[in-house]
Amino acid sequence: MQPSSPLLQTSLINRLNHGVLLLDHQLNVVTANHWLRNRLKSPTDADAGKPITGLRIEKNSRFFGACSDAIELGLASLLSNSFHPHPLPLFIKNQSGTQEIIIQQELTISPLREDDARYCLVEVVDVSREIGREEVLREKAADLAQARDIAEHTNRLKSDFLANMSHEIRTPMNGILGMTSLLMDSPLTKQQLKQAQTIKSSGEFLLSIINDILDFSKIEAGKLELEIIDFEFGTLLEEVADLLAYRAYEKKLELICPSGVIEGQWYRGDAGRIRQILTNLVSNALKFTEKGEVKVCFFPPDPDQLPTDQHQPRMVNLTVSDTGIGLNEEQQQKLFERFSQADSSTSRQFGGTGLGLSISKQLVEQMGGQISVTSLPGEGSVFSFSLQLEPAETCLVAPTMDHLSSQHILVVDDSEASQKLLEQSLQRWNINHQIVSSGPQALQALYDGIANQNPFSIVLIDSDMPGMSGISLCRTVRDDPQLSDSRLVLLIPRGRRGDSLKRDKAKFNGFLSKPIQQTELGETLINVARINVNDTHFAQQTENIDPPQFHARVLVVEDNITNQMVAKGMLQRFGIDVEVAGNGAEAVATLKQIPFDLILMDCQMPVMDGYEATSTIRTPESGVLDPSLPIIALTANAMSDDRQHCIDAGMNDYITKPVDPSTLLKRLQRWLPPHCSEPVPSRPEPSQPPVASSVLSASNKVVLPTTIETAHQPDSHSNQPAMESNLVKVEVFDHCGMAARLLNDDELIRTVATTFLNDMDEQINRLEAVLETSEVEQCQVQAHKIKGAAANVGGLALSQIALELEQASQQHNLPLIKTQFPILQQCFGQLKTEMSKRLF
Amino acid sequence: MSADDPFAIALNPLEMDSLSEVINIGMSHAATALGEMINERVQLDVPEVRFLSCDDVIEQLNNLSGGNVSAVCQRFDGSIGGDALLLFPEDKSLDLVRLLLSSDMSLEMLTQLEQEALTEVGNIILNACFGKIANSLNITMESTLPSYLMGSCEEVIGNLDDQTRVLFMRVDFSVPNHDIRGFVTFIMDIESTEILHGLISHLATRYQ
Repeated sequence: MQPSSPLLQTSLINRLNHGVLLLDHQLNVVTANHWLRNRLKSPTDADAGKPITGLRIEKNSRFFGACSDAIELGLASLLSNSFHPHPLPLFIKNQSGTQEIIIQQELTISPLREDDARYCLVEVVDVSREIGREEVLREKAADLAQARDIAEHTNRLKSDFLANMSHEIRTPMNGILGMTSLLMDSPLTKQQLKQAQTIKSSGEFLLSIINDILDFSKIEAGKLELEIIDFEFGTLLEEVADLLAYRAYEKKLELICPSGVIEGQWYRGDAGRIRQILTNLVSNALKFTEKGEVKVCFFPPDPDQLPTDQHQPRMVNLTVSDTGIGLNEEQQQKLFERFSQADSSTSRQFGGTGLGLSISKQLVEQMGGQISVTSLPGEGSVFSFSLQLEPAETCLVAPTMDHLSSQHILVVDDSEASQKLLEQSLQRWNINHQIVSSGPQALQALYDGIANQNPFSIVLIDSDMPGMSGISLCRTVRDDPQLSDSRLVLLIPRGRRGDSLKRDKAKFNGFLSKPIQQTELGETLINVARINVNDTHFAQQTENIDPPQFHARVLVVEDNITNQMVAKGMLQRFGIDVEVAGNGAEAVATLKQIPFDLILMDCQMPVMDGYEATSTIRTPESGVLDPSLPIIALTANAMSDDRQHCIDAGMNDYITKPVDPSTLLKRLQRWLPPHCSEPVPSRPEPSQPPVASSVLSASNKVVLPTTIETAHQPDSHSNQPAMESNLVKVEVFDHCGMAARLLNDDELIRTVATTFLNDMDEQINRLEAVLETSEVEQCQVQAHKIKGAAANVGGLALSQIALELEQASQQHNLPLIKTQFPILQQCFGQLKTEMSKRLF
Repeated sequence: MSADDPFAIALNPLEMDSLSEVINIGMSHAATALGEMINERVQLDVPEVRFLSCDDVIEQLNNLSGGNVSAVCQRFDGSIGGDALLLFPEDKSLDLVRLLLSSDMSLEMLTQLEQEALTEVGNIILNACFGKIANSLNITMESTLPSYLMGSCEEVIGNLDDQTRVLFMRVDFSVPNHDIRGFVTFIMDIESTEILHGLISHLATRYQ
């Protein structure tokens, strides 16, 4: 329907609720509607046909260009508000009518034609309200962004606070746990020991809760970093078994971990976190199982689904199954939620924070896997999880078990799972074996073996069997001289200290802890196969729980007195000399004076912290005697970037507080220089005769001046026995070492010894001859020969002095050589005596 | 462009050169307009002119944009009629808007403004280009207001009124410092291509 009259058309245009402006080819206003005229600064000028003074179109403006395009080229244009908020001077009064506000506009410009006349139609839409709304939204968004920033900042503060708190909590926990460990090693009444054990287990439990909360907050804050290392799954599972064996033993549960032979499963990943997941699942399983077994299975990647690129990550699966109380559907669904336990009565009965499974789930997911549970109430649960892991870059090869193939082994165990595991291992090592499940069956097999002229050389006996116990089976075997050729290895639960077995230990040739670990089984079998029947030495060795001893001096740098005592106590148990420094500055001062083999360095200390101290020590100009000595950080912050911080500062390794004695031992074994770990009998054997010579000290040891250390101190008399602190004690004859090298073959040992003694006389004569001609090069060659030969037969003292002579020759230090030669002769004499006494 | 192609229009090499020249002049004008807006040099590629079916056009655009596009479309009418399109790969359109608007704006704000701002940018570029082309060919055209389209190439082309158009002209332009790429196409019907052919051959004789 067309508007019928020009009047109607005009009023239509005037009634529009947006601006309409028609311009002619010279950009003069032809028409402006009411809406537009009312909003121009000078509405009175805006009558049709008259130039509008309030509407000046600036040349070179976008508006001008768009109008020209429309008129000259017939092109339409759009002027968006974002680039041109108000191209026309249009105003509106504010609500109170006191102020004029400019109108936010959006313009469209179109060409219009009537015959040859060209026009330009401008339409104006007031978008002030939209812009206002946008403004409000923008402010809201800004407010929200600010609120978010504040929340993030608060969250960061919270994380920092937690990290700091963890430091604060761990320091006293270190005191509690460390001192309790030391206390438990001191003579205590039964009651006191029990109380101390309670303190320790409560403390450890508290620590595990703290660790859970800390982990959880790290996961929440997205701060959990994985520490990627190469590891092997078999070893990892054995470590988990080690950790939880005692708990399984206490509840009389069978812990089978791993449940099958795991061979060469090397991967790259966060072994610590995987261990944590497994420990969580296994300890849960132990907690909720009253009877039966807990089993951990490992499933290597499906060979059909291996990625083509051998460096690509692949999926491994693990399961932890138990024969416990199980879970119903509803419980299974809620299980992995944070803070939830199967039900609230569970938490009263079994304790725990309810964070363990939630943490495990997060960890599994962070490692690209999934975790799930299947369960039947009353029958048990199976927790399964997968992990996406890259294969390891390096794979260590397991020792071969070839020389065990001549053995014939009988396994006596009532547990099917154990039987299976032992069978797999023995099969893998190609060892001839038979498996029976009770004492009477074992006896039958043993007699059959003799009758068939294929007797069993080793019998592995489970200690806890229904009916005839392992111990009584052993007694029976030992009481029959027919069976005396069989070596007996008792399988005892790992948790048991074996006190009750001690009186029977003469009957066994070895012990093996359950859950059985591949590596341990192999080692035990090799050892047992090697020893003579009825030799109880090995049994004593395995029974010996004395910690290993080191010749070493360690500096503990720690400001907290309790922690000082803990560290000192632990180190002293390893036979280590300990000095203490209260802060980094004291440590640096001490190191300038006294040589040390290793430093345990606290990180946060007053005056000078551990990082600064380490950097100082590592600087050659610092003046410390050995700028490269190993430094192990003691850190209370368990964040993995702390580790990086320590390494960056120049430390070699780190231990998290509270210090665990076995971790400390591992670090010592790794970082102490080799000469510190030479075998020292922890108790001197009283049967050794005293040695007459002033240079030789008591008990199979020689005190030698060490030229290595005296080299730092040019003023001291290097050719004379110096102060006690500069001496290194070396064994004259390391019988065990020689025997081990010669596979305990007595005849071979004697032959080698005889040859050595004859030859060495000749060698020493030659050395003396070159000494007389002062040919130092020849002297060096000769000393080198003596060094090697002596080391081979366990003549450690002789080898050591030969080494020093070799070094002295290298330095052309003839006077030193001449003073050392008599000592060398003396050492040889001593070695000859020792060898004759022990071997012939 | 094979002889069997039902859409093909036989332009001799000279005519082809002339057409390319006209388009190039138009695009240079557009590039200058864009360059002034963003204060950056805008680089132009040699125009490609082909006669294609609509499906082929979609395939071409898909290859170029690698997925969804943002497009500003203007319909031109007059001696020659057709749809002019300015296309950006979807993820690049935001970069251009960011260059044009103050940089302190948040990403959320930019996304809201993107459509409106991009429409005006497209409008300026297309007007500059086709205004100049019309001038060179000495014809009059009238454009509609620009509209903004977003989606897959099928959706964007499918939105155009007439599905029989066949001339596909493409000019790539880029802002090297900012990794911004876009292209201009003009799609017209057979009738218009014939008129265009006449105009071009006339122009070519004049050049000779």
